[in-house]
Amino acid sequence: MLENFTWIQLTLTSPIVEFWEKIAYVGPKLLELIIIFVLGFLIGWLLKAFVKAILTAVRFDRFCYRIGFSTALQRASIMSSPTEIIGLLTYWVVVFLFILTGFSALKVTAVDQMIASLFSYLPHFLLAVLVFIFGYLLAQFLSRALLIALVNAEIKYARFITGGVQILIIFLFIAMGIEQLGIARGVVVATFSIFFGGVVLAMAIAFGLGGKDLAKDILEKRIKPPSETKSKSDEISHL
Amino acid sequence: MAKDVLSKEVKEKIKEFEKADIIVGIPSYNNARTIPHVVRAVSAGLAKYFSKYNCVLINSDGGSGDGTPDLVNGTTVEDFDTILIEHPVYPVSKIVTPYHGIPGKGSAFRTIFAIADLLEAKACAVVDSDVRSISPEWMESLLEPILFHGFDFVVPLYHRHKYDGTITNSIIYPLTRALYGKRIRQPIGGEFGFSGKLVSHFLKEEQVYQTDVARYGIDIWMTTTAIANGYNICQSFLGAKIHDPKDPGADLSAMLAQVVGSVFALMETYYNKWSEVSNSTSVTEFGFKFEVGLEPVRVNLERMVENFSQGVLNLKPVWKRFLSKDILRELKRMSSYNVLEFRFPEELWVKIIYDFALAYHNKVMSWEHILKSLTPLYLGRTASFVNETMESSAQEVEEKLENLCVEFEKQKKYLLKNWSK
Repeated sequence: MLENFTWIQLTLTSPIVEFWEKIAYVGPKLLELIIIFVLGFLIGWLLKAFVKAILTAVRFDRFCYRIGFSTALQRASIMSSPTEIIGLLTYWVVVFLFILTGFSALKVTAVDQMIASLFSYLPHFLLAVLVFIFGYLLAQFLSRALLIALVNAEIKYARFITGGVQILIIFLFIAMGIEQLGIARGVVVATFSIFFGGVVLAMAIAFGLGGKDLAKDILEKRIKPPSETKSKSDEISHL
Repeated sequence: MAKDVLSKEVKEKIKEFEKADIIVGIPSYNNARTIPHVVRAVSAGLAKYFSKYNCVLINSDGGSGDGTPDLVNGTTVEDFDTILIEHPVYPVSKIVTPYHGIPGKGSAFRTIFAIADLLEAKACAVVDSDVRSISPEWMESLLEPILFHGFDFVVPLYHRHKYDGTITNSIIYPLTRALYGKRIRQPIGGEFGFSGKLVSHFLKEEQVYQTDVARYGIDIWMTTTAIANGYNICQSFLGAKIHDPKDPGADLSAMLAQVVGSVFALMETYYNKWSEVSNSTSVTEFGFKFEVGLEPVRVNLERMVENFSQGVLNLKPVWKRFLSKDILRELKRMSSYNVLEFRFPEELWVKIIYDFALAYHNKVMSWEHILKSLTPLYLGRTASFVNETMESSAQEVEEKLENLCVEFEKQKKYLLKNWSK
């Protein structure tokens, strides 16, 4: 009888005890997780407000308009201002970091490993994003400078040439970004080298065959003293 | 400070001279063809009109490869009888030196200013080395108002061919007049007279010599500095201005950007001055005006209109950042005109110049891109001016320019309204 009672007691109470023991073990961790999440959202929101206030004070939107970043965003149908975008990015980066920290508080080996690999990949990802942004802005700036110079030099198809150069620069930076991300490194580098080398070779041949007189004129203008160069038909004096 | 831009040899020469009453500076770069005449005219002018004064001629050279400095050293006036000088003539002392700093006219002037300052000159003059029409009388016209009438800055007044100095006529003169209220007809003439006091002021602003002022921006910088700082300014009639084309190899868009960029930069510096000005007044004039014959100028109208059309076709993505849709539409319409029918209305031109000034002020993009994208529009306006004045006399051309100036003054309200502080 007593044996039966002990067996029933053990059978019934053990799972309950175990359950409560598990709850006692996981509960505080879950609570910790929830607190970290809430803190993450709160700090993210505060940081977002802080970053937005600073960017507004330094007229960041005006700067972005000047360097052509706002136009690039509009072209991509992003209607939010750069300040808002950076504020939002700050918010989600903070929230994301707190979520990861929260999960690591659970002390689950698989989750810990995943978080560790995510953290080690994060710098590459951020660097790739920076490379893309920088490449886009550089391509915009250089192509605009080239377009103006070509128009002023009375070279036809200025927009066509400028467009080609812009694509080349963007492609170069995309290749650099993808290399940073570590995706199909060999393929990207080989593709880019073949493409870029091909374009440069094609341009050199085209210039050599079609533009030898132009090249001669340019070299004459650069190397020979002014008196030896051909006089222009226009005698207008601008100053 | 001023000494830093001078070489050891020049400093020794300055010690030797101790002091000078009059300094005449000639900036040069490959001007072997014209500089002997300029040196002779200056030397004769100084001998004829300022024989009692201690005069020094300075050639500030940008590294000419055609022997320009040697020609300056070797040029003398052989026969003073021909210019009716009876009193004893003392040779004009010369300093021939290369200048240091950014290559350009402004750096050459800085060297001249530095020497003038160290020699404590009472009056200075500068003349371009490419002028073929200079006579000894130019020295009298540029220096007398300084020495005997208490003026600090003498601006030249010349008869020029109607198509000569188109940047001056279409932008710099009307814009400077509208901004600062002084009717100075040749604000970037190239020949100027100035007092020792003004030389010290020019040298004080050291940082400007790292900008486009070191290049073609120097003339407008000197004129604007003199106006905005309340110096006594007058104009002196010199006769005809006939000169070699300014450095045939020079890039027009760079030259335009340097001059217009300097005006825009000065607008930032002197906002408090020009924002208070609402009309313009004339300045004192010296000299007896007479009619002169001018050399014809060959103009390639077709090329200018073609450049304008190419600009309209290609530069829309740049201009749309600061020009309104109406203006862009109007420009597109104009690009379909044939060469002889081509017209660029004054109102539109003035509005565009003010919009460029606002874009520069608001830093909507790199200032170099803003300024260099003006070239096709400027060529369009020049082509229109040539078409409009093809049969006009000098008097009629001046009337036309007067109308343009009035338009600049009228639209200044627009500029002020949109200029955020």
